[in-house]
Amino acid sequence: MNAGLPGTGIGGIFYLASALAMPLREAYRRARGRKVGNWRVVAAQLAIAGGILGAMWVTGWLLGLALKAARPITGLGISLPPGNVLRIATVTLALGTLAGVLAGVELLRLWVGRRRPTRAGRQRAALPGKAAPAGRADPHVGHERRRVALLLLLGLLVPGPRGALAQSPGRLAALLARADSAWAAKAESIAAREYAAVLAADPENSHATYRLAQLTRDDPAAALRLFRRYVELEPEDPWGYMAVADALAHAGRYTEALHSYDDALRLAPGEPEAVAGRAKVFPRARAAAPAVTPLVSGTRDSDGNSTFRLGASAELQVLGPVRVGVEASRDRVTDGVSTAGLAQLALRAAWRPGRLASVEGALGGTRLERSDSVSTTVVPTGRMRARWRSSTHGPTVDLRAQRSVLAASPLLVDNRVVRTELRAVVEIPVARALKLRALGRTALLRDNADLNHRSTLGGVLAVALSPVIELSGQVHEIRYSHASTAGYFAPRLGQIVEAGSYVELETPSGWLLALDVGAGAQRVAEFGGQPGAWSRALRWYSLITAPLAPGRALQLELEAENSTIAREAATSGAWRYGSAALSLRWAL
Amino acid sequence: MLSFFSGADVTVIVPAFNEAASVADTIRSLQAQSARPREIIVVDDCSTDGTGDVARALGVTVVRPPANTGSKAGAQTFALRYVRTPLTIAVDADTVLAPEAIERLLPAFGQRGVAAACGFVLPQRVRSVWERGRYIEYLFAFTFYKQVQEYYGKPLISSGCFSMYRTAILRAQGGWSNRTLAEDMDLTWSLYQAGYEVRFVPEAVCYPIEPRTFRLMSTQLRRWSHGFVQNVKLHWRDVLAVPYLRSAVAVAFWDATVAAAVYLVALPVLAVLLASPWVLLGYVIDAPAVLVPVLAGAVPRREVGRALASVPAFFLLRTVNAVFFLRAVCAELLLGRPLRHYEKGH
Repeated sequence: MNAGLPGTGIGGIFYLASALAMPLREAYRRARGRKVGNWRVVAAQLAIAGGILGAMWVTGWLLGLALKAARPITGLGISLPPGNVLRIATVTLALGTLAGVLAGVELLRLWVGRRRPTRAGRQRAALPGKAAPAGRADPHVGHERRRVALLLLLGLLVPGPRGALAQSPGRLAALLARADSAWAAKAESIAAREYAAVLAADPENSHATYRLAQLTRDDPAAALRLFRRYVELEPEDPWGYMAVADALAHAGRYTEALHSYDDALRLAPGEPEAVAGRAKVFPRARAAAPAVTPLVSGTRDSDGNSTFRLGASAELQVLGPVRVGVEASRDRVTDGVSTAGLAQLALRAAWRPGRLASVEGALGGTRLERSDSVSTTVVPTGRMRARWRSSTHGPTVDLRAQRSVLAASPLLVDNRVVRTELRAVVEIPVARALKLRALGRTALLRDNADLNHRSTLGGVLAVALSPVIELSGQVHEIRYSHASTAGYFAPRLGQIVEAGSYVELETPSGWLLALDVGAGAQRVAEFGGQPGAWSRALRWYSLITAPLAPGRALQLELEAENSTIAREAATSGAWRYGSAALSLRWAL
Repeated sequence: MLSFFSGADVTVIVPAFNEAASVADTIRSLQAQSARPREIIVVDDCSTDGTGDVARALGVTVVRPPANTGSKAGAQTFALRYVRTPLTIAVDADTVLAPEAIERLLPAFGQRGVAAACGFVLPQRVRSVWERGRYIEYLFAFTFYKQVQEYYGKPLISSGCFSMYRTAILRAQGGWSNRTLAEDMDLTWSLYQAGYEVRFVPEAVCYPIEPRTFRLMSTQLRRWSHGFVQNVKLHWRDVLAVPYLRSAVAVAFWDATVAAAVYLVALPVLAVLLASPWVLLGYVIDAPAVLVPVLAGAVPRREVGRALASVPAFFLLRTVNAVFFLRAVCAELLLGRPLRHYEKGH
C-alpha cells in the first residue's frame, strides 16, 4: 500500500531530495573509508531524480507559456509574475513545507521522552535503575571505544543513585535517537560514545548494550561482557546468545560457544545462522576438548645415531581457560653399538587467559638408563612458556625456560648431559606486513664432569605476504664457552645466514599443512681457530594434520636439518639429521 | 534422518478465506519456484467455497482454525505454529509469484540483522480503471520510493502480499498482530523498533490481484487508510527513534492529511474564486514528473504502452485515495471512531 499521494504533496520532494543526496552520502562514506553502497542503485535513482527535475522544469516552463498566452481566455484577473518566479515560488513552497515537516519531526523526537525506544525497554521502564557513576565514559573520547566500553562496564557494575540524566527521560530518548542516527550513518565512534552515554544513564537499556557490544569488536573481552549483559537483559532473544557464542568462538572458547549456540537454538529452533555457527565451532570444540594423544617417532643422524620413541599425552581436566594433563614417553637411543634408554613423565598445564596470551608448562622427571646398564639416574626436567601479544597485529613477547636431557646419542645419555635454557623472542611490527624479530637464548649444559655455556643471538626480518605465508631473512650466531667431549659439538662460534619461509594451509574440511623451510649458509670457528668457509645450511619442518572425525586427527611431523651448528644440539661438526613423528589426537 | 529435499528451507503460509478462484494459481506458482519451499501451508479460514479442497487437491498442507479468525493476520498467526523452518513466507491467496521470487529473496537473509524482506509488487491483471490506477501507483512507488527507502535501509512496509521473515523473530513478535488493519505495516515498524532490518529486493516480483471494481477498491482503500492511521497512532513515539523511518512516516502522514485536504479542497475553491476551470489543471500538473519513474519501471518490462494507457487512471485513483485517507484521519483521530472490522477486498 501507499500512504499519501504518490507524486504529489511533499512525498515526491522528500524522495527526490533523498535520491539526490545519495551520491553525496556515498562520497562521504568513501571519504571516511567506510563501506560504500551499491553505486548501480545510486546511479539509477539519481537518473530518475534528474528526470523528475527535468520534467518539473519543463512543466513549469510550459505552464508559464500557456498561462501567459491564455490569460485572456483563462479569466485570471491577476497579472502573472515574470520569468521563473512561479516555478521558484512553487518549489520554494514545497521545499519549505518539507523542511518544516522534517524539522517538526526532529523537534517532536527531542520533545517526546516519556518512553523507551524499544519494546523491551518499555517493559523495563518500571524496573529500578542502577546508576552510572558520576565519572562515566568521557563523551569526547569516542574513538576510544574500548575505553568507553570498559568504563561503562564499571558503571554497570556499580549500583548507586540514579543519575540526573536518567531522571530526564526526554534527554535519554534524545541520546538514544542520536546514537541510532550515528549507527545508521555508520559513524561508529560517535555511535559508541552516544550508546555509552545512554548506558551510563540507563544501564538496563538492552538496545544500547547490544549496539555498544557490536561497536567494541576491537576488544573481544569487553564485547563479550557486553553481549552477556545483553543476554541478562533479554534472556528470550536468541540473537543475544548467538552474539555471545560468536564472541566466545572468537576467543577460542569453543565449548562455551557451543553451549551458547545451543541456548540460541532452544529459543529459535533451526535458525540457520545458529546452526551454521554451531557447525563451524563444533569441530573446533572437539579439537580443543580433552584428548589422548599417542605418539610414535624416530630420528636418525649422519653419525649413525637413531632414536625411537613411544609416548602419549592425556588431558585430565579442562577448567575454563586452564587445561591440565600428563605426558609420558619412552625412548631408545642407539648408535648401532650401544643402546641407552630414557623414560619421561611429566604433569603439564596450560592457561589461556585470553586470545592474546597463554602460559603453559610441564614438570616431571626423566630417568636415564645408561648403555652399559650399570645405573639409572632420574633428572628433574620441565619447561615453561609464556606468550603475550598486545593486539592482533601488535608486538609479541615469547619467553621460555626449559630443563631437558640431551639424548641424541647413547654417549650423551651416558654422560647425563642436561641443558637448562632461557629463551626470549620479541617481535615488533615495523609496518603492517613487516615484522622484526629479535631472539636471545642462553643455556647451561651440565654433564658428569663439566659445565658449559651456550649463547645464541638472532635477528629475523619477516614479510607477511598473506596471513598464511611469510618470508624471512635470518641471521643467527651461536657461541660456546669452551669445547666439550661429552658428546655434543661445541664450537667457539657459529654463524648462519638464511632465507626462510613459512606457509600454513588449511582446508575447510580441517586438513592442515604447515611448512617451515630455510636455506642459507653457515660457517664455524672452532676453539683456537678462525672461522671456516661458508657452507650450505638447510632445514625443513613440515606438519600435516589429517582430520578423521570431529576431535580426532592424525598428525605427521617431518623434520630434517643439514647444519654444522644445529640450533638444538649437533653431535659432531658435520651433522645431518632427519626425524618423523606420528601422533593421533583423540578427543574424549 | 536423511533428507533429500533440495529446495529452500522455508515455509509458505497462504491465508485464504473464500479464495477458491485464485488460490490454485497461487499454489502452482509456489510449486513452480526455482527455490521450492519445504512446505506450503494454506490456512482455510473457514471458507464456504471449497478453498480448502482446491488447496488439498494440489498436495499442500491445509490447516483450518476452529472458527474464522476474522482477519488475514489471525489466519497467518494461526499457521505460524505449524512452521518448522527458519524462514517463513507470507503470500496472499490471490497473489502469484515470479518463478525466481523466493530464490531472489533468500540472499537478503545472509545478513544477521535482517528480519524481513519483501519484493516488487505489480498487479496480476491490468484491465479495469482501478487496476490500471494501481498499476501506475505500484510502478511509481516500487521503482522510486521503495528503492530510495531501501537505500536508506528503511523500506516503509514489508508488503503483506509477499514477504519473507525469520521465523524465530516472527514468533518473538507474536506473529502478525490484528490490533491494526494494516498488519504488514504494524509488523514492519515493530521490527524496526526492535532493532532489526527489513530489506526490499526489487528482483523478487509478485503479482497480486488488485480490486477491479470501485466497491472492492473502496473496501481495500478503507482498510489501508484506516490501517495507516492506526499504525501512526500506535507507533508514532517509537518510530521517532528510528532514523529515516520517522521522516518517511511524517511525510506520508502529511500527504495523507494536509496535502490531501489541499488537493481535494484548495484547487476547487481556487477555481471557483478565480472563476477559471484552468486552475483544475493542478490535478495533473505533476503528470510529467510521475511519468519519469513510471516509464523507468515500465521500459525494462516492455510495458510502455500499457503504462502510458494507464496513467490517466492513476489520477483518478489518487483522488479517490485522498478522499479515503482524509476520511480515515477524521474517523480515527478526530471522531474517535476507529475501524475494527476486517473487510476482505482484493
